[in-house]
Amino acid sequence: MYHHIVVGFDGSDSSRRALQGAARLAKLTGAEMLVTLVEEHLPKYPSAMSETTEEREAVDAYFAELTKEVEALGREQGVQLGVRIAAGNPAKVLCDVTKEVRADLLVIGASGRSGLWAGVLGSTADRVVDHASCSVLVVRKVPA
Amino acid sequence: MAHNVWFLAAAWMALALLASLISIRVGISVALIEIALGVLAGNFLQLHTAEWINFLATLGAGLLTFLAGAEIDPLSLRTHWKPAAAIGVVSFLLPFFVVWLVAYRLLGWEWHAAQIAGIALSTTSVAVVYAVMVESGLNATPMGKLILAACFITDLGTVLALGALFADFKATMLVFVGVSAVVLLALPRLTREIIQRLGATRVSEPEVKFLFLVLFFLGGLATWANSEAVLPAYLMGLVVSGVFLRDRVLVHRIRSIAFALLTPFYFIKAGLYVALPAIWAGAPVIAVLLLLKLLAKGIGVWPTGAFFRLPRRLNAYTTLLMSTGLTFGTISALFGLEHHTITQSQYTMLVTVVILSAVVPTLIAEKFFGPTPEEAAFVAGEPALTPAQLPASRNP
Repeated sequence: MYHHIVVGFDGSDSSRRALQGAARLAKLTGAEMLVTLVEEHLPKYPSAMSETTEEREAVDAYFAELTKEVEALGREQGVQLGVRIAAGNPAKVLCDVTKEVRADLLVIGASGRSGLWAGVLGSTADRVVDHASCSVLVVRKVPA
Repeated sequence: MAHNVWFLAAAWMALALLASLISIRVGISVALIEIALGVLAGNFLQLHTAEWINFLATLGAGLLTFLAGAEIDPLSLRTHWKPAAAIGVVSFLLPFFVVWLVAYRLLGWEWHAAQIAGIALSTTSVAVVYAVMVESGLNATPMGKLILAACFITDLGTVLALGALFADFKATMLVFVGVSAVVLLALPRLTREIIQRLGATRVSEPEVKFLFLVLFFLGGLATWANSEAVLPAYLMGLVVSGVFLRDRVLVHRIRSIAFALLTPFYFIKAGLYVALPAIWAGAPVIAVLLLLKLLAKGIGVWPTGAFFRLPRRLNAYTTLLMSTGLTFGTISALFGLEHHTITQSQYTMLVTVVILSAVVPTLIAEKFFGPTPEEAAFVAGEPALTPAQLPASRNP
């Protein structure tokens, strides 16, 4: 069914649901998972290199925690998974990674940006669905 | 109320805070947002400066320049010395002379105003280049380190030109050069000793105060010799870069002081003097100058990159990155305005071109010439790597 699943994860509730859903799917299908963490908030056009390095150090520390969480989930579910950290626009990075590893499914959370930005620019999910080279599963919160 | 120091400080800090909030929200550096808010405040709110604001802004520019010098990796510079020097020197010289001559001959700018245009548009923003390369992963590769080293050489050309072109070559200059040389030679050892003897964690911050003391003293000497304080600031940064590479806490402290209290005054002030009507009126000149900067960088950097056998796409990427500018471009333009070398409309045009040069080349480079892993792993002067030799992806 699915052999290579890429998951976008940023620690938000929405992306955590996507991660858990993808892990269950990977367990069912025996697929390999690649969890992609995107350093999104590095400042564009900085005035000093340290602006980027220090933002990055803070993000790296946060992503180290997320990596532990992902690895623990992999062990718990008995799923084979890898973690990749990349910088840039999340939609572009996720589409690029999907293409590079020839994934057959990309799993993401439904919400990311605020309503204002999503209205103006389109959410990450919108852009990923438009541009991904494989099927995309957008995981939504199921109403209680 | 307009002359109440506290209210004026509060108004400037409100803009700085707003800039930080917007910067975090939109992911664009706080420097660009501060300039933009400065433009709005200058054109619509009649925000004004004061002597003490000018002083803080000057310190901000000095510290930014110092940090720019201190952020170099001396080992990279030594490793890639030849290609970095070749690319860095042409990346400075060609735009400098081309823009200078075109501004003087074709645009009718005065001799010194044209020189300022040449200096402001010869710069390469190492910080912008680094941020772009982090996104492509190039920053960790030998090629990325070579490009960064080349940027430092270009900026060295810029500060040397700014420090030398408008200076008086009298006895004061000899004193400035002589004393600076002695201080700069002793500075790395003295800084290391202060850190070793007193530690880098004292709340009284002796190592930071020591660096500020030297920065202010050499800045004072430069001004006395009618040179420019950014020259010793950059050289100071270069000579202590090895110390900074090991002591990240020290960099963090100086950057925190600079970004919280000093650079907002500098960037807001840089925006304050931008006259919006001059942007519309000078749009054709702005377009010409931007094109000229990109062309001159291209004519210089592209063949040099080809000489060092950079693959075609990577060479285009390098050329575009070397065409970026921001901090030193605005510092040069503001220097010209404050020394009455350029008019406010010329300043407006130069700052607009500098900001556009931070954005336009990076957008083109990222969109069309983002390096593949094979290209990113290229080492100048050596054969390209096979796929098996490529660095592993950045997995923790």
